[in-house]
Amino acid sequence: MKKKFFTMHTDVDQAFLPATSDEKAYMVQMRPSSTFFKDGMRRLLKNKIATLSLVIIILLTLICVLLPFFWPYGYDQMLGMDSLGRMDASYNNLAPMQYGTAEQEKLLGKANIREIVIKAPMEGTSVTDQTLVNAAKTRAEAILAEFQASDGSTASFEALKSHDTTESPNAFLKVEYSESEKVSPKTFKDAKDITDWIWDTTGFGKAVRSAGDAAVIAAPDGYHVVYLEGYVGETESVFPHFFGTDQHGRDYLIRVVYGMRVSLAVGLFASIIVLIIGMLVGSIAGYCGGMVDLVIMRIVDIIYSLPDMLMVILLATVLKQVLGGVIEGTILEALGSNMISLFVVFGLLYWVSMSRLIRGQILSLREQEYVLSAKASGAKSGWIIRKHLVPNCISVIIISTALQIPSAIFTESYLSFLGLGVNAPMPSLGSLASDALNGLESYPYRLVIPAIVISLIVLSLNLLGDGLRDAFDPKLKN
Amino acid sequence: MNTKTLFYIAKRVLLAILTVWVVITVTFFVMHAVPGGPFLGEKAISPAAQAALEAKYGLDKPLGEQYITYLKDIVTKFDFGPSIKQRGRDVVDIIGDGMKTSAKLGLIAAFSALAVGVVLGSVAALRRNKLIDRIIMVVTTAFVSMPSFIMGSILLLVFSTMLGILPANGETAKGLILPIITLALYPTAYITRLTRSSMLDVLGQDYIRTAKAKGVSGVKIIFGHALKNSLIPVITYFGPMLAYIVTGSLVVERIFAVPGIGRDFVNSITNRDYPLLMGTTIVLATLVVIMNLVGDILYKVVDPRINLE
Repeated sequence: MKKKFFTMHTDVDQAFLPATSDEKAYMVQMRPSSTFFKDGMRRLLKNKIATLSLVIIILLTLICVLLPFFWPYGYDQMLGMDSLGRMDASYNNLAPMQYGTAEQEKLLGKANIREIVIKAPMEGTSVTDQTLVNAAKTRAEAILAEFQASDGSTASFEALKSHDTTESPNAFLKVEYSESEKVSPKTFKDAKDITDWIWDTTGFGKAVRSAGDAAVIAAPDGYHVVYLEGYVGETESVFPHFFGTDQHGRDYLIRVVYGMRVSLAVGLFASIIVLIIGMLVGSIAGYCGGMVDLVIMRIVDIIYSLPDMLMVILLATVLKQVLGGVIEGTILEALGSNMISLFVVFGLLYWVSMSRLIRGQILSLREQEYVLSAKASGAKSGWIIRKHLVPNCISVIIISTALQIPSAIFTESYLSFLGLGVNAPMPSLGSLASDALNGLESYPYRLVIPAIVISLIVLSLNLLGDGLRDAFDPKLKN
Repeated sequence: MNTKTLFYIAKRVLLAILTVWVVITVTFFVMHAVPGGPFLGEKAISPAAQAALEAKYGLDKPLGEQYITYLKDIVTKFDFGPSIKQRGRDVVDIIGDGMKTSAKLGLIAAFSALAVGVVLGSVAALRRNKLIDRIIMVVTTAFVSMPSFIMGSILLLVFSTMLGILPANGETAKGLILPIITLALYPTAYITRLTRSSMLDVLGQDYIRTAKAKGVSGVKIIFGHALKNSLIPVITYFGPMLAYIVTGSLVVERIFAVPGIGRDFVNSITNRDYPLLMGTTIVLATLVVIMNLVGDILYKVVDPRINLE
């Protein structure tokens, strides 16, 4: 065709040539394929607050799971109690980083304590204080050498020799003697008698008392009696009590960690229970519709308007006693009746909002065009549920489950605070706070620590839940 | 008010009555399912004395008959029977005594939460993304995540143990300050956030822009248009707030030893005073249900646009 000079017509031959492969490649934008989950996670990690919350939750969870394996103390281990069931009260109510008596002795190297009693002759004026001390020292060294031979310990001798001061209360060698007092000969019945006598005359024989085999013999007339307390033995390191101990001498840090464990576990399992029941009931109501839906929703309405906390308390009180007998001897006993009643209560009362949500989702999704088109293309119900309904519900499910966890933790700690939570001696953050109220004036940190932990957990779970909502369901934002 | 609204109100009232009935029934049967009965754990009690006690409290009759009597007494005479542990006192009297203190506590907390929350929320919304908004948001986020018992214990620790300004015991008028603050903090924080978001929503509306374009003064816009409309969500929170205050008062009254109904409730759990426990549960639950009902109806009346299911 001949082209006119001023024509505005497009040159068809030129303009509509097939694209070359280079031009085609230019149009293709290469992007890695992304799934729904990956997409949500990417958005979540962009949110700084939510990421921080996630990190805190993961850290706390790791601490809860791992720390009890390494910790030398148990949550119900009364540190002052020995194998015979005797209590050493010095372990009770320790402030942070303090130690019980036996632990202090370990730290100071007093593990193998030996009390030494020296007799020095009093006759003659030449015996001065210093010579007496020296005599005592010599004798002590001799006894120590003997002790070493039988025990094989070597570290102690040096310690004794280098610390011969008589003044410093922290000295490794403590010498006490009486110059003027004449000690009359005594006869002793047994070792206990001897130690009692030392206790009475010196007042520093507490450890001597327990070391009944102390080498003590009757002091005849004209002798000074020198009591020599040797701090012998190797020093040992003692694992510190970072948060001190409670009124029963139990390590507080491990109790807080176990309380955290209980809280997180209750939160998680309660949410799973709520999720399962809520999902089942909600999807049945939504999918069946009609009479079934009506009846279920009226029940939901009533449970929803029940004052939940009052009902929870009532049910927990009663279930605790009813279940106590039922679960005896079964595997559930380990969990404790309180814990189980807690789960039962969650299962009974807290599923309603979840089921309402899921019913609403299913009702609206059922009417969507793509479901209709799937039906029109001959898809079966199973396919529609799996490929269309569930994926579209999942974001709502994830979000409300995530927000359910802190509310369950809230409820659990509330009940524990009222004494209806986990069974003693298992701690929970709520019961720890409740116990701390009794000694608030002396040990305020015992309240502050669980208070901070529980607030931190609930806060970060809430913020994480908000972040998840923004990330997985941007429609709901604001 | 059209028929649709009246129908809605009637439906809600019916549901509320049904809920209260469910509460009473559940409470009654749950309490009677406890093994051993209320006299278990008493000091050695002879079978004859136990039978006499059971006859006195009507526990020897069949369960169905007891239930009917209980229900009838509540509805006709507002009578919850005598307390088992506090001899010679009726549950109604105990509840009445406790209610005097608790109602004072709860109402002051509720109204101060409303006042402070609305003001703070409006300030935050009007100064959006400024320093004061940030501070308000951070503080309220922290308060919302703190359980009431933690908040109460911390306040007790700071103001009464450490500073010694306020008494730890809630029996005097001055002693009620800390419990009121404890109860009010969470609702205050919540209302602040609620007011802020709804205020922001309203401030973006066309009619606000129109008012601005017409040259209406800022004060008039805020008080005449924005505040009034942004309070609608706050009204819906009225019911839940009272529910929160009721449950919160249980622990708060325990912490501060306030002689209120919440303390009666908690004590009745530990003392196994079943009639008192049932009575307090029913009264508190009814209160919460009524408050929710009032909140819902108010919501509907205030904003007729709201679509009723």
